[in-house]
Amino acid sequence: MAQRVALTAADRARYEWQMWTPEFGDAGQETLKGSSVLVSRCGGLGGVVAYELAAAGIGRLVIAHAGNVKPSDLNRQLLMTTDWLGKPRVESACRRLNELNPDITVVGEAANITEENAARLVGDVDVVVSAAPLFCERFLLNREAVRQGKIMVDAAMYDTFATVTTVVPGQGPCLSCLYPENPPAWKREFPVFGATSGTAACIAAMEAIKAIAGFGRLLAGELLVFDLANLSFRKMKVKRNPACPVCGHLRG
Amino acid sequence: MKINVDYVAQFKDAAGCAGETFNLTDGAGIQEVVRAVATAHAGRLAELLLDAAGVLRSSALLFVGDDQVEWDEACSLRDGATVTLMAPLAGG
Repeated sequence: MAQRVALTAADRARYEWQMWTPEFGDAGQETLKGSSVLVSRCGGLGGVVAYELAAAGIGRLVIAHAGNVKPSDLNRQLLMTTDWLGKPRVESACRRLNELNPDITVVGEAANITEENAARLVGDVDVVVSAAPLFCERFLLNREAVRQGKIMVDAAMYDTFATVTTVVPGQGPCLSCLYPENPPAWKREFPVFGATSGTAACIAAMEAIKAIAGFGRLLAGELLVFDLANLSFRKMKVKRNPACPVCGHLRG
Repeated sequence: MKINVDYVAQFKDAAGCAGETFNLTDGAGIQEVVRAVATAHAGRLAELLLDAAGVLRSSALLFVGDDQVEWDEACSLRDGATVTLMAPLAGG
């Protein structure tokens, strides 16, 4: 897990207001500074996660996202800019994150999560945030995070609905417990307002911050389900699958 | 008895409403609720919920109140209970 790193005077000036959170304080900020987080895809959801984590002072952010910026990205992907249309998304994302906080390290991986890179990327960080629009990528990340015993925050949305859960290996269900198979009806394209993906992202970012700094209560064994159409927020209790091929062997 | 059913994500689209109430016989379980929904929405929603053998697709999540229940779990629902049918979602 992350090691504490001493804060500079500039750090204290930048993070002072969040350090006023009693359960967080100096120790929490020092732990964030010594931590690293992987964000899988930096689109409408992952991009806002990365932005919040950069603002909060995560020491090292690794963001993985393939492809170039398209006009249809710009209604929600806040790390993408109009002047970067047609150019690599991960470059736009790194640029924006560095503009926000030049004191952290941002590493861009111009690829989505694959069998080839999953173990390396997960092995390189303390906590993982899953925000890809395809289940196959989420399952890969989940499998690697569980195998390496790392916490994974999973945030997802559709239309005005979103879910967030935090996979703490052995302490609650993993993503494969919830969804044993690749859902056949899920499509790569879906209705989305940036405000919906961004809301889920802010909650996911806070889960990552809490997981690293060790305060508050994580969504382990719980699935937050919300609908911004009627502003309903519910925390559902979700179960481990004892026969889960990914985490079933772990003791609770 | 009356059972309230809420639809999440693609299930809401397929149902054409956010939720509705079903009248079921006393002591009905979760399978009776899902089959009543599939009967009422015999097109796309039924296909999303059930496979050709009439068994719940593994990617659909079921909740009674705020608790997840399994398809084959014995549970006797109470009058006025709320069942949530949640479609898998992965938008990012």
